[in-house]
Amino acid sequence: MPQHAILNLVGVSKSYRDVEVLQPTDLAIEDGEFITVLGPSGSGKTTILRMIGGFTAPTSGQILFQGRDIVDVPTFQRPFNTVFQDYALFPHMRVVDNVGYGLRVRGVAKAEIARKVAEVLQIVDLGDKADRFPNALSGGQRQRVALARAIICEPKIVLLDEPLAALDAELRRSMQDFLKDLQRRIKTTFIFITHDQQEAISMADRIVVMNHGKIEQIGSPREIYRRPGSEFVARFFGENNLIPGIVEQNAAGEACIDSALGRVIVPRDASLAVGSKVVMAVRPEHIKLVPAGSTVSQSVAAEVRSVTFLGATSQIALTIAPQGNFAIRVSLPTNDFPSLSVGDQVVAAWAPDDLTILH
Amino acid sequence: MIRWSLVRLAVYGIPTLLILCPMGLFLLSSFWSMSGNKMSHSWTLANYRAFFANASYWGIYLQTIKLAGIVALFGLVSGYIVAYLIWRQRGPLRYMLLLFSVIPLAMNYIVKIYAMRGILGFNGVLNSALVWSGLLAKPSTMFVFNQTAVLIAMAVIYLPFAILPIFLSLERIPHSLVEASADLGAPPGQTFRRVVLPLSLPGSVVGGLFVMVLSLGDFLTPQMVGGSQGFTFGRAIWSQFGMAFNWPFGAALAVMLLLAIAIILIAARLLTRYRRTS
Repeated sequence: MPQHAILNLVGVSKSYRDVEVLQPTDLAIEDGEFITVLGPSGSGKTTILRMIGGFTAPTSGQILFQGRDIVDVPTFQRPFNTVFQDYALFPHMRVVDNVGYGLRVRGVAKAEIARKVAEVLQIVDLGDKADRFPNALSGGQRQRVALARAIICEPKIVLLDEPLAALDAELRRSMQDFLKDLQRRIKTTFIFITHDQQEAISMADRIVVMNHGKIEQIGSPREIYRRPGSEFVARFFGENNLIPGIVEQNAAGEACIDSALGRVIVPRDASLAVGSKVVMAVRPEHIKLVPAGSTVSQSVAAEVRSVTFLGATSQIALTIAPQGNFAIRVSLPTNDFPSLSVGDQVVAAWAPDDLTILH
Repeated sequence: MIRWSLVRLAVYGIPTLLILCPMGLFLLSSFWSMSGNKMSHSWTLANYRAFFANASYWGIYLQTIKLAGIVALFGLVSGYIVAYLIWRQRGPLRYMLLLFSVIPLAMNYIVKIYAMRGILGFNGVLNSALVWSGLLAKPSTMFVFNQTAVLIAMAVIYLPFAILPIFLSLERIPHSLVEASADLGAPPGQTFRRVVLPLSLPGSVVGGLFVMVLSLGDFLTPQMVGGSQGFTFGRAIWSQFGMAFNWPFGAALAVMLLLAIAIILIAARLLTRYRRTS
């Protein structure tokens, strides 16, 4: 448990009748971090957010805020604010009244509310839309109103439930930068729910990958990208070639695995029992192509099956020669291989460190 | 093409024939008069003059509007309370309660009036209960054959007509707005006052006005529980058609009632237009 944890989920679970949507889960969230909870729909990510916000009660477990269990504290007394997926702006209130709502219900003086609302609207760049009603705003503007409304009360944690899902790609990217920037500026913990791994990579300090109601892996974007902890993470988080194999020997500083890529050498790992089945993951961009006939220690002969031009990079599908039907994908800068065509014989090579063993 | 224009003719023609034509005929006949037992088709304003000249018609007219207004207010307030309590429930219970509260809509109107008579009568349930509880020394004649009786009976009979539109206007409020309000620090009471009530009020007032329109034209309830004291404008119209056989005058009275209803409906329309959610 990290020392600076602002929020701790301890054995938190949620079931509806017999269906367990969240298995008992532990999660420590540190003060001031931007944490992204990433997972496909039905993975339990929204359930976690709703339990932190107090909209759903956990079936079991504790939610500790600064060490104190808040499971029984009603939503309106929790020092968190939420940006809802559908924004949930009050349609009968102008932008200023929406943004000032949290202060108004706390009985803050009118002049103080007006001052703070103007300040926050400045931050989200909506100063000129203050007197509009929500239905007279565009999607991106509503989004920013929802954000302004959520930060004006200076919450200890801002909860964001897929807030960018409804925006188009360009607006989304600029909102990602804006959110990340804002979070650094106000130094508040952000818990951001998304199903978009690109979004998670570009914004988060730490990513929590979820699947089937449990946490698959927690780590920095780089860690998760480089060392996916499970087959699900390897598949869900960016592209990966998954290669099954059997551990042949595990001694003298290295392990040897018999796989579709031939005999593969990986650093010795005590948990690899000889004879056990494993799956290895290697990213398409970590495989290099060398001319046929080259002898590189970690390589395999292959045939080009297709070349897909994607702009700066190209995606090449290879069939491994001895197996005949095992395919891997390789991603290379387009300029590196001006003349590669279907049927060419090549050798695919990789560095042992780029292989990740999935248990 | 021809088939489509036939369909269009039916779509616009049938309502015109069945609704607008009778109303037009009404309007027309309100400018006619009776000479002896025959209707004279010469134009006259005598019917309207008679209405405005006779203070007793005026009085009944205003009194009936006031009565219907009180019934509507009762329907709005108690209908809102019932609808809100149903709305707050979750799961199957909610729709079960809603069903129970609107079942009276499917019951025969006359049966309901008789039921109300049984409750309000001199030896009725209400009086018995009040005497039994000691609130009254002996049964009161307050609840039968007067305006109060008409008021109570109509308020009860028309309540389901208010509950349904009020429930629907509550149901239209996205649950995330209630959650957002709590999230921003509003206790349940403030959430109700600042979010739920303002968003459901226009639809609820329309429900109340609906009840008002229904009770304005009602002549059967006043006749059966109102006795000679509970005279309403609806009964005045009915007596012109059914007893005095002065149809042109009856038509003029009906037009006056229609005017009141039209004003109410326009008010309702303005209310719902004042705010349209996205």
